[in-house]
Formats: sequence, C-alpha cells, structure tokens
Amino acid sequence: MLSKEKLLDMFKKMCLIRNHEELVQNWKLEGKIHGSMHIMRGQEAVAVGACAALQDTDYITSTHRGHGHFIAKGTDIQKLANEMCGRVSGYNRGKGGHMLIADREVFALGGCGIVAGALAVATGYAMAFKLKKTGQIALAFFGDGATGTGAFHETLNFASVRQYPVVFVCENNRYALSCPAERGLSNQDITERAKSYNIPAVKVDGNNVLEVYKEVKKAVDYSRSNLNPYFVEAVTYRMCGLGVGDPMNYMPREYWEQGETNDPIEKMKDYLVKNGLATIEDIEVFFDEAKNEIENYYENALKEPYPDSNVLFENIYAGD
Amino acid sequence: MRELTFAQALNEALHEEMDRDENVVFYGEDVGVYEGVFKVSKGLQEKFGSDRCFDTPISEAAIVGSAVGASIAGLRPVVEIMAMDWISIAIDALINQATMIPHIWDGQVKVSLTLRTQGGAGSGGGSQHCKSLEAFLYHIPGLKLVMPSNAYDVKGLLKSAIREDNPIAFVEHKLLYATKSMVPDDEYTIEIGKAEVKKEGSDVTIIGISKMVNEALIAASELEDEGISVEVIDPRTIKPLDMELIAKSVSKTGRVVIANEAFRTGSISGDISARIVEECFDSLDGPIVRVTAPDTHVPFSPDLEKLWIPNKDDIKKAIKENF
Repeated sequence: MLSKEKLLDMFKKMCLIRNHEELVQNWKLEGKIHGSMHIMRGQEAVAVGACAALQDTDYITSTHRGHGHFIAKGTDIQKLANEMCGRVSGYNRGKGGHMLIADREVFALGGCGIVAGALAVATGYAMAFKLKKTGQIALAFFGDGATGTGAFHETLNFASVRQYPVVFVCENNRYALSCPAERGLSNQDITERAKSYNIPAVKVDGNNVLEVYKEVKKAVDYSRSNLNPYFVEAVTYRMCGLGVGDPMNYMPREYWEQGETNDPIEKMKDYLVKNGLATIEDIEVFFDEAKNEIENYYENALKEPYPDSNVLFENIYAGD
Repeated sequence: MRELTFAQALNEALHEEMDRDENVVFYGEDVGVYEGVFKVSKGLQEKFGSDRCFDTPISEAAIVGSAVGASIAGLRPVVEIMAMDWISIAIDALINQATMIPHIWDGQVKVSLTLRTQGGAGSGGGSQHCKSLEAFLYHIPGLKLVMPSNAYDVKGLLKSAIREDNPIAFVEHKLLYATKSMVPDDEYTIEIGKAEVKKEGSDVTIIGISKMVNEALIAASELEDEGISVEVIDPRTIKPLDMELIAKSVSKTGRVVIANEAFRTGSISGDISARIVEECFDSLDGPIVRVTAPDTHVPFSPDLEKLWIPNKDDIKKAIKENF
C-alpha cells in the first residue's frame, strides 16, 4: 500500500491542480490571461492517480485539457505558468500556450490540441521502448470524445496487433465538447469497446484517486512486463465548461450535483481524515498553501518578459 | 558502377541504413512479408526481423502518428504510405504533430522521420491511386520535401533523409521504379537541398519535378535538333529549394518553364514561379510558363489519362509558343 508520504503528496497535487484550474478560470474571466483556456476542474483524481502509478522515466501524452497531467507528472509549475502566460521563460518560450506544453525533464511529452492526436504518438513512444528494451512505458490521456475519432480506432488496433507497452487512460467525463455521450457514442461502455480490440480494459471511479492509482498501477505493471497495451476508463465529471466562458446550459442539473457529491478532493480528504493520516486543520493548510503557491507562480509569471521575435524562427528545423 | 532500377536503389539505401544504425525501422502497408508493392523492401524483414521491418494494418494515421513518437523516443523510422492519395488520412500527424512538435515545443525533442510515398499517373490506377499531392506536403512548415528523378539520386537522397534530424517527405513517381541508371558500388550520400543541372543549355531553363525531369530531358534533346538550347534543372529537393542554382540558370537563359505533374492551381510550380519573379525578376526576358496537369480529377480511360498527364510534347509546345 502507499506510504503516508506518498498519499499526502498525491493529495497536495490534487489541491495544486484544483487551485491552478480555478485561478486560470478566474484570470481568464478577468482578462488577466490571454487565449482560449480549457480547464479540468473535477478531474484531478485521474491525473494524479495515474501519474502516481508511473516511474519517473515513463512518458505521458496529454490533451487540450491537460494542465493537471503536467502538475501530476511533476513539472515545474513556475515554468508551466510562464508558458500559460506566453512568456519566454515558459517551457516552449511562449510558443505553445496552454494546450501545447511539453516538458522533456519529466517526460510529459506533451499537450495536444487535436482530440486523439497524441494516441498514436504515445504508441510510437512505446514502440521505441520495446525495441530498445528500455523498460519504460507510455501512458496516453484522452477523453471520451476522442473515442469518436478514426485515430482512436486505428491506434488501439495498431497497438494491440503490434503489442506495444502503452497504457490508454480515458477520462470519461461524458461530454465531447457540448455533446453528451448519449448523443455521441453508439456504445457508451468504453471499456467494452476497448476490450473488442483484444486489449485488457477496466472501468474505474475516476473521482477516487486511490482507485485510479490501484487500477492504473495494475495496468502499468502489466504493460511493462508483458509488453502489451492496457486500457483504463476513469469515469469522472467535468466541473467546468468546455472552455472558460462556456455557459454550460446543456448540462443537466443532476450531472453537476453528482459531480459535487463525488468531488475527488472531498473523497480523498475523507479518506485521509478517517485513516488518521491528516486532520481537518492539516487539510485546510494544504489547500491554502496550494492556493498561495499557485497565485505566486502566476504573479511571478506576469513579471517575466515576452519572447523576442527571433524565437518565432527558431527550431523550425533541427539546429535552427 | 552498375545499373540499378530506382526500386533497387531504394532497397539498397534501406539495407545500408538499417545495417548502419539499429535505430532505423521501416514499416507500412505490405512492406514486410510482401516486400512492398514495388519490391522496395525486398529482403529487409528477412534480414532485420519483424520488429524493425513490418506490415501494419491499413491505418495511415497510426502509421505516421506512431512514427512521430518513435522518433522522439530514439528510433529513426522510415514509414511508407502506399499511395500518396491516402496521405490525406495521415496529414494530421504531419501538420499537427511531426512538424509542429519541434517548432512549438521549441527544440526540446527532434523528429527524425522519413515518410516515403508514391504518386503519379500513367498506370491506370484511377483517380484515388495516382494523384500527385505534393503541394499538400510542401505547404507544411518544417517538412522537407524530396522528389528524386533517377536511381542514382534516389539512393543518395534517401540515405541522407534517414540520417536527418527532421521530418522529411520523400515522394516517388510510380513510373520511375523500373527506370535504370548507373549507381556506384561504394557508399555515397547526396545533400538534401541541392539541385542539379541535368543538362546544360543557354536559351531556356526547364525546371522539372520528379518524372517531369525525364520528360524535360527528352524535350530538350528534340529541341536541340531544332536549334533551341535547353538547360534542364532537377531541384531534387523541393523544400528547401535550391534557389541559388535556379537563379544562376535563369540569369543565363532569361526564360523559364516549370514542369510539374500535378493539379495546376495551388501547385508547387506556381510557388516556384512566384519565387523566381520575386528573386530573379531582372533576369527574366519573358513570362514564366508552367506545364502542369489540368484542374480535373485523374481519369481512368487510357486516352483520357494520357491527355491528363503532362509530357515532353507539352513542354516543347510551351517553349515554341511562348519563346
């Protein structure tokens, strides 16, 4: 079982992500941050539970809604904030923005604004790991919306017939943009669909970080030792719009209420308190510290310079 | 030196590069057990095993997308899209992954990926198996585009492409595979980005792309008999384009024909023409003339297909009418 230290670290990361997403939402609405913003409020447990099951050198691919994946993988949040604010000291010197962050240091490679666009890339990572016998695996995050694409079908089939060590983690929040699964998916049981590719697959409560961890750990261990893909469907709630500013008038009240009842941070808080791992007071301190930490990163980011024009023309080709 | 076909030269390049570097892998539809529709992968799976040379499902998006990841994680994948007409399925991986990643991730990783594909009409493939869609690829920032015209060039250029730390589209015309030229026994490479004068002349410059180089050479030889001296340039690499060599030729002849078997509108010939106007305007003695396919889909019926394909007679006609 997980050590107290690791459990608290996971909880702190969830608090960081929640505060990060709320700050980004507020700043976007206040006009303090530029560009389109997709946040993952409510889905923190999937990112943290899955990344906690990985070794440091395992690769992840993310999505258009992926800030939490980077924080969970251990990225430097200051550099993340700098990139989000388009600053030269950001991960991509401001060229990527919020959807296209990449961090070579922690193998979070990387954000992808094309839905399902990174699934094949992750499978390619796994191909290289298998051929080079490195012992690493790749983990691809994506949403239920991605399962409507041709790339999803092609990649699962390809990874399965070629037997590459890639773990597919579907964050099933049941909304593809504004379209609910009942109108968008002919078969809403995504786990069953994954199994049809002859890939072992499991459905898990995506708002319970410990359940996510447990199932993704099994998946990762299996994938690493059997050199084969594995699929985890984490059922969760998107407690935010498809982008910041979305009125969300298409979401029924029940969805929102269920999301609140199943809040992943509340669930983990209860677990920590019940098991004597933290007090209510400790938890409040963690949350407030996370809030301050995130605010500091973003206040600092605003003081950083924007990139010079030469940055635009660099790295079009290798060595440029 | 010995005579090799274009397909044999490609095969030699792949054998040599896979031998030289264990990170080179080659995969695509029918390239493993079947050894490729044009036998370009003959002997590769047998020699290097099915981890390094293998058949894929019919999944163009997964083929190219996975190659992006494989190259970031340390392999040097060469992938094949069997017919260029199907590049449409894989273009997301090229424009939104392969070329975007190095630039937008700001050099944190390299994408060393060679995408081989073949296009071109003339074998009755019908409209979805014979198009020349290189303009789609040419348009993508960060993607180099190589289109060789003979066995010697294709071998040296493929070897260089595989060694490059950049994504490269390598486009072959299907009617070139059986053409032969002399190829050295010893190893050699040809630098990406260097054009070559295939025939010197003084009255008019023809810039031919891929198989159109050969049509241009025939046209040049026939025009020579009529007293017109033609210089034939093979850019070999279309992007980056060797404008230095083109400018030198244009400054000598003052007249330019660009021959490109592709839909006319939005084609590479139009862009090369624009660059010559921008960079060599003072050298020009007349309009730049383009010999291209028409803006129609490619027909099946043999006479219609012939009508669609630009050839040496179209080049000769263009020169005589305009100069």
